[in-house]
Amino acid sequence: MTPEGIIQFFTSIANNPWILVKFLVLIGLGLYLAFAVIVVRQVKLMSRTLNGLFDIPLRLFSLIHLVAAIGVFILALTVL
Amino acid sequence: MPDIFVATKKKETARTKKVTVKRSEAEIKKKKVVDSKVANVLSTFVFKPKNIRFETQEKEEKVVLFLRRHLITNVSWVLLACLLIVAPVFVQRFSLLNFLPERFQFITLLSWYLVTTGYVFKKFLTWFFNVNIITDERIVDIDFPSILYRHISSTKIDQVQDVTIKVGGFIRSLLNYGDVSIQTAGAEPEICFEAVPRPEQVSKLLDELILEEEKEKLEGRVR
Repeated sequence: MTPEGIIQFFTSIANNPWILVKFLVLIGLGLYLAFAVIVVRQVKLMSRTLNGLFDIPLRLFSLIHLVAAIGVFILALTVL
Repeated sequence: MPDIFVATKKKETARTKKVTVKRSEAEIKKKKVVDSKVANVLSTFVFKPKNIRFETQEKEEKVVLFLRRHLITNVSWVLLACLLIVAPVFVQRFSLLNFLPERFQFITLLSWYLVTTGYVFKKFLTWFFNVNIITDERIVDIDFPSILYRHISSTKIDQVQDVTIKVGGFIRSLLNYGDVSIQTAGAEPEICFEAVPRPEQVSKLLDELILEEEKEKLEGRVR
């Protein structure tokens, strides 16, 4: 990024501070998305460790949770 | 006396025998049903569960007791989750987020419920998969202290040296749950079953299994 570009970036933030807030919200939701991915993986691992009980509903719920996290991230990206 | 009664007596004996056999078969069946139970989602103490297997279980190994923390140990996070669910209502009522543009308020609300769901799910998973299993050969402690960490420890029944139960406090005494500490001669010096229901029954069962194991050793039936 050129020095002019950086100045322009900070000027746009100064003119509209909500851009910075949007950026922070997206970072937060991105981190949450990573957490949701880890949860899906862990549920798979946990079910393998102890199987026979409630496996499918838990896996399904972890996937629904991941889809919801992706949905909110995309919504924040478009709406904000 | 005439022999006529002898024949009748024989018939009756046979019938009685049949009835007795039928009854004892039914009793065995009934006992089997009572002994082995199907563990459900919220089970915390199941004797000989039919539907539970764990990763390191051997083919001939049978689960004798399946334990989880008492249900009451979940009350704190369930209450917190309820607060988290109703919090946005109060936030809206007292207009605490009115300084934000409407689109930000909407995303904040969605994110709030998403994080609350994640929190509840994570807490449930931690409770659900933190289990203690006693088999006819081993004691297994499966722990997931956090979503990223897994700790499985097991020890053979014949390596158990001492079993201590600890039930302290009003709620624990009232609901009959507590900690069972098992000192072992293995690599893991202590295995602790935390907040499990009916700790004295767990201790009694462990004592019985230790005796059984010693008997098997003496008779040379060790697997």
